[in-house]
Amino acid sequence: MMRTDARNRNRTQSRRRGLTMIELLAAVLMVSIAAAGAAATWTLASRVVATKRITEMGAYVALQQMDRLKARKYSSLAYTAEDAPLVDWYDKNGQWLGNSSSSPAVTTGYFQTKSWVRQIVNRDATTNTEDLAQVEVRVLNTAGTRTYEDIYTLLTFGGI
Amino acid sequence: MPLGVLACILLTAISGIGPPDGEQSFKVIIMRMKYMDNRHLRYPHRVRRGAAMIIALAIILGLLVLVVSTQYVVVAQLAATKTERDYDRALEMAEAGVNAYLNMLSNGVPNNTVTNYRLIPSAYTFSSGIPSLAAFKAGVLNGTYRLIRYPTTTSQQGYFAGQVGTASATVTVVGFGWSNGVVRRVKVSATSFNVFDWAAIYGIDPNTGSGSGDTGPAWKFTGSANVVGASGAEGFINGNNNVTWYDGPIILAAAGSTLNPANSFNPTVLQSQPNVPTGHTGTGQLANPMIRRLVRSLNLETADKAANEWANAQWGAGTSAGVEYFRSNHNNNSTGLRYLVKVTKSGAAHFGQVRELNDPTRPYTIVPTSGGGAWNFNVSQPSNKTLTNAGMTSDESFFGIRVYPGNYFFEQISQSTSDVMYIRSYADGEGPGVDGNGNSFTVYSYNWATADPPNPNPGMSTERNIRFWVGNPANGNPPNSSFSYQCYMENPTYASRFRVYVASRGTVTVSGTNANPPPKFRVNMLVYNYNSSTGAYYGDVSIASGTYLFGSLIGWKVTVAGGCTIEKQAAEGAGNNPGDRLTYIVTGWTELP
Repeated sequence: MMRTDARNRNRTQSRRRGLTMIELLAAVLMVSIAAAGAAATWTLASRVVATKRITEMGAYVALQQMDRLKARKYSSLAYTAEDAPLVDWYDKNGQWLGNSSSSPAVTTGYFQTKSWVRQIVNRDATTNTEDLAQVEVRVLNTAGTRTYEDIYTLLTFGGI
Repeated sequence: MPLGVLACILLTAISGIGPPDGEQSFKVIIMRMKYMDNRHLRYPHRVRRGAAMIIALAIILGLLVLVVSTQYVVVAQLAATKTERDYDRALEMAEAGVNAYLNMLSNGVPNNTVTNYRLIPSAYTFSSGIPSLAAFKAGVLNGTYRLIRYPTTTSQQGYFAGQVGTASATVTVVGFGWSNGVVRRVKVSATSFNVFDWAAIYGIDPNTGSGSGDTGPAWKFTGSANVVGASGAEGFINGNNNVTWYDGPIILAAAGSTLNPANSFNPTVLQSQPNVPTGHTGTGQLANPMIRRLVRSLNLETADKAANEWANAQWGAGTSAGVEYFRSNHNNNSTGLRYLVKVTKSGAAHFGQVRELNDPTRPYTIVPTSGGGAWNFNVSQPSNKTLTNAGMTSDESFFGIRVYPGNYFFEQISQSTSDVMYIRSYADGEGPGVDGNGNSFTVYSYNWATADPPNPNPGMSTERNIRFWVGNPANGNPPNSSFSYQCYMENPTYASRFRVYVASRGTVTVSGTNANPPPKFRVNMLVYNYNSSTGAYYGDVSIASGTYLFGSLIGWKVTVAGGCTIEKQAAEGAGNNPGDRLTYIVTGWTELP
């Protein structure tokens, strides 16, 4: 009876020990998967924060540049050639740095804007105040290889 | 404490974010760990090994909660950022809509051959009030409001605009902007800006006058002259050193900016004072900035265009005939021009009083439509026979010609410095007016029965404006026209009540006199037209010595002699004349919630 009890205890102990090892392995596996998932999410989250910042700043810089152009008024905004847009530079906080292609802003800037003023509607084939003008502001990185924002509006003589 | 719990807490602390019930979840984990620690004290070592699965599952659960909540917040923040961007874009779209609508009000809807014509909205009136954002959104979805998609026809952005009430001297325009379902709306008020509101004097010819066949310059000052108020040019200003400028600004648009560079055109501008320059009243205000350089030519109407727009606005004529329209339509030549005679015989009845010759039994014609002098408005004294036949007595002398409010067509106007023209620049019942010296001036009917008789032109009883439309003859060279300082407005409040639109290729001359103070020739004159057969613009006007032109003068080419003063006066009614509208100027901006 006592021997039987001892055997049972040994069997039970043996079963419990094996089960615990499997449990541990499974737990390690699952923890690893979860940790990997968490790490991946963390990377994603970090990247999204940066993307969010870029998106926000792109919109902010675009609006700033649009307002800067609108302040010059329709009557003083000359049309730009497609290959010669107005170029301005902004730092990472959206501070305007300048608009000269030779300025230090080229290297210190964080955002570059390219702006076009186009004659979009012209009824009389003459460049005059009858024209409806289009303003496009495109926000890019300093190298001009990545576009963050691209906004449009229309201007008329005497308008907003 | 187990490492997993520490990792959970650490991750949470670093990320700063977590599910709404995250704290509760961690408490559960910690409680469970404490429970396990207690078991560790109560049970033998081999029994405690079975808790590994529970611990692992708890850690996994915690991590999963973190993962899900982090992803949820990240996605929500991204969505919020994009919505914010759409709000910005929607505002730009709303303003784009307002501008496109204002452009339509000033320049009309382009035909469908014009590139991007679809960007110009059609006229629309919010007759049931301005829709709310929700109502507008629903209206877009059910087709009530049709968005103009912009910048492309497939973009999820666009605008819709309309007006509140009618567009006259002022207008209220509401623009709705749409960007990916986000809607914003702005309301602007705008004031009509008249072509004659722009400048005292404005020359357009962009040529310099230096070469053979060159029609320029835009202005030519041949002697000392004064210019008071806004002025400008779209071409070269020759002899600008002869000019004394007052108040300003000086607008140099298009070629006017490049042909008058800052190093050669930097005049001193003085502030006008009472009688400075001679004849000026009141104190002016110096403009700031004084010189304004505009990159674009002003879309100044030609005389023909002004005629079309006026006829279309006033009578819905749908004409494109230009000033020629008035040769045979709404022409008041035969009714609105009257000889004036004055009783000059001492002791005679009505001595010193003036009547007009309008006896219906004694008709006469001042401007013939055929034969010699056809379409020539000759302001000079006609023959005594003509006047006698018209009813003048031997007690009377010719006093001048009176012009009632209405529309008149001529090929030529002939007025010398001795000829007198009275412009009856008020509506029926608003008289009497004043004479050239500013004294009360009552004109009687032919039988002395009525003082200040009503306007004989049909349907013009409330009209105050006199419009001269000057065209070209069908054959031969166009004759030159002349005005003189003896052109008196009976109500001189607004020079814009006398408007002269010259499409003739003949030159217009205005003559003055040396007097102190100088008599003012009040007029808004446009001497500018387009010859479609040659593709050339034209319109020469010459201001002779001693002229004080008060109002506005716009010409293709303007020549000003010495001793002249040209002073701006804004048109009456803030430019409430669709035929003369240059644009609407925005005066107020509000975003509607």
